Amino acid sequence: MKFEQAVKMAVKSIRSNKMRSFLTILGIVIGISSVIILIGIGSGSKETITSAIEGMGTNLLTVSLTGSDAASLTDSELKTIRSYASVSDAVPDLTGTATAKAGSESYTTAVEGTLPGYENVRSVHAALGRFLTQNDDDNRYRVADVGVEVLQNLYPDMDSSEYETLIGKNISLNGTDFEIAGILESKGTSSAGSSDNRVLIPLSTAERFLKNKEVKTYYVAAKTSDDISLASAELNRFFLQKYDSDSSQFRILSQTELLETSSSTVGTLTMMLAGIAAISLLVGGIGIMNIMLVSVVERTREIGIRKAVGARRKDILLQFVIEAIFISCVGGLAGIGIGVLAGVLIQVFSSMKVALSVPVMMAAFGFSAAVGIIFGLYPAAKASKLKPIDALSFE
Amino acid sequence: MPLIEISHLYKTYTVGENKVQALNDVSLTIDEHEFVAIVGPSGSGKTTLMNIIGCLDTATSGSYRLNGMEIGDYDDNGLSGIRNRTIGFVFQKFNLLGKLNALENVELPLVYRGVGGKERLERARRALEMVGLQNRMDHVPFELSGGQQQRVAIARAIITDPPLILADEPTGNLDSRTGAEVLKILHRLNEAGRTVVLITHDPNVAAQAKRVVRIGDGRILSDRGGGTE
Repeated sequence: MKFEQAVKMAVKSIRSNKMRSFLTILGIVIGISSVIILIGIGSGSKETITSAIEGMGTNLLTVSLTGSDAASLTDSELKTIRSYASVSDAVPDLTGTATAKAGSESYTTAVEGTLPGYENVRSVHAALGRFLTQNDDDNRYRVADVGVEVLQNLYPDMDSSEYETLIGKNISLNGTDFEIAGILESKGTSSAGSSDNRVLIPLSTAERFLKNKEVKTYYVAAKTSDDISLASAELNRFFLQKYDSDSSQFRILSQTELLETSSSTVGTLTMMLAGIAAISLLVGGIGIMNIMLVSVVERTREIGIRKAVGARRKDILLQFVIEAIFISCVGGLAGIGIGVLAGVLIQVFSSMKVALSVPVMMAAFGFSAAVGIIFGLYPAAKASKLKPIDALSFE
Repeated sequence: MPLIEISHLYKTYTVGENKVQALNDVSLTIDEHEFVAIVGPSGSGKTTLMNIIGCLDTATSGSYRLNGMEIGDYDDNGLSGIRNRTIGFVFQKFNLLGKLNALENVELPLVYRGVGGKERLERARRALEMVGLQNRMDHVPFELSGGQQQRVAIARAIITDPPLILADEPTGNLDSRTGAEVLKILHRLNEAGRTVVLITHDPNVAAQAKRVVRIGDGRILSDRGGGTE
């Protein structure tokens, strides 16, 4: 038999067994596309979280005073920290919440009282207007730098291009008017919550406004990323001394630690998704096996007839190999197509990032194709060895 | 000139722990252009004999020469070639491929012989015309009556122009009228020079053959009307 004729025969067989071919292809498609999507979501989340953490500034150290009676730093203590060679700046962050109001709209937001140095330490800049100044703090001015999420909720009908007109206008926080000095650039949403839902005000103003002088958080910027561990050690020594060697009173967290913690969390998530994907690949593979093995009786009789009229073993195998390869490739390509399309759609219609990976596609394709070919060929290879009379009377 | 020479053929099946002697020292010679009916009750060994003559099964011992070839010397591939060139099968259950139409079923033996598509189509058409199915060429088996399916099978059997037509109960699944039509076609093929070997348990069908070989318990009981006895 000629090769071309074997191809024609295989195609005819696929077309005349539409249901069987469709179910086999479906098994492959489900296996491959779920692997692509699930692993894509896993590694996409990892990328998102990593870049969000890196965006906060890689030189950042966060000091949290965790003891309930841990005293805040005095101005001179803050100066001492700033004087360390490894430290470029340190700012206090006094946090609270307030209800912002404009017209009939109101929105609950985080209020942070801090110093002008916050801009560089946290790399948060004013997209419009200006950032807080030392003058604001010295005079306890009621001025604020406002995050865009607050504005979006207070002025739902206003386009972001018109936000400039709000500079100099008043915003009401818990009934107290603050002048909008600037609007913060958008930082987006991370796993830690929205960075855009906040209002920054001078520390001295905040102490009165929030009726609280107990600062529990300090942000410290190391000079360079190489200085982080040195700065961390110096801070540790400083706070141990301040709290009489009681390390439970404070916690120093560097950005790299944060990165490690979250990437190990996301790594676990990715492993879990990959596990689910592997199961769907397996289920798809079992589906293919089922269909192929169920059609053994029909196929064995067909092989008996073909052999009776003169087909040789290799003619039979050639036809079935081509058939299995054809189905696996169609299913594989459709699976990759659907997986990629679904990944793109998920990325467009939700905030999730989906990182598509070519090696993952190849591996999933290879696995499904192998299952399809092995289980498509195995019954045929067995049947083609039978004497024609045994194949013809097979039940 | 003998087409089939069988001497001292034995066939033993093992069913569980029992050995069944399906053929027990069978010797039979069939010449070219003969029309032979092999008859016997079920379990007599006639189907086993037919399967061995058709190279669909192999004997346990003994010699079988077909068209001068010692069949025992051939492997599976070789037997495929012999079936393709030398034998045309007509089965009781038709054994057509259900997904292929009449034309595709008929041309199948030529596909495995490597004949080109155009010539195949031409010869398949002629074969179907010969059995009176020129209007049913693109019907699949399930759209055809039993008699029509058996005629498709006959067209498939003759397309390779084999010297031997082997028919196993060809009328077994047909009513008497369509059965008679099928027998008429087999007679025509015999008159055109082909050897026809017919297996049946129906004495009326057997009566139409020029030579009748009776089989029982794996042995030849009688051989009437043949030229070799």
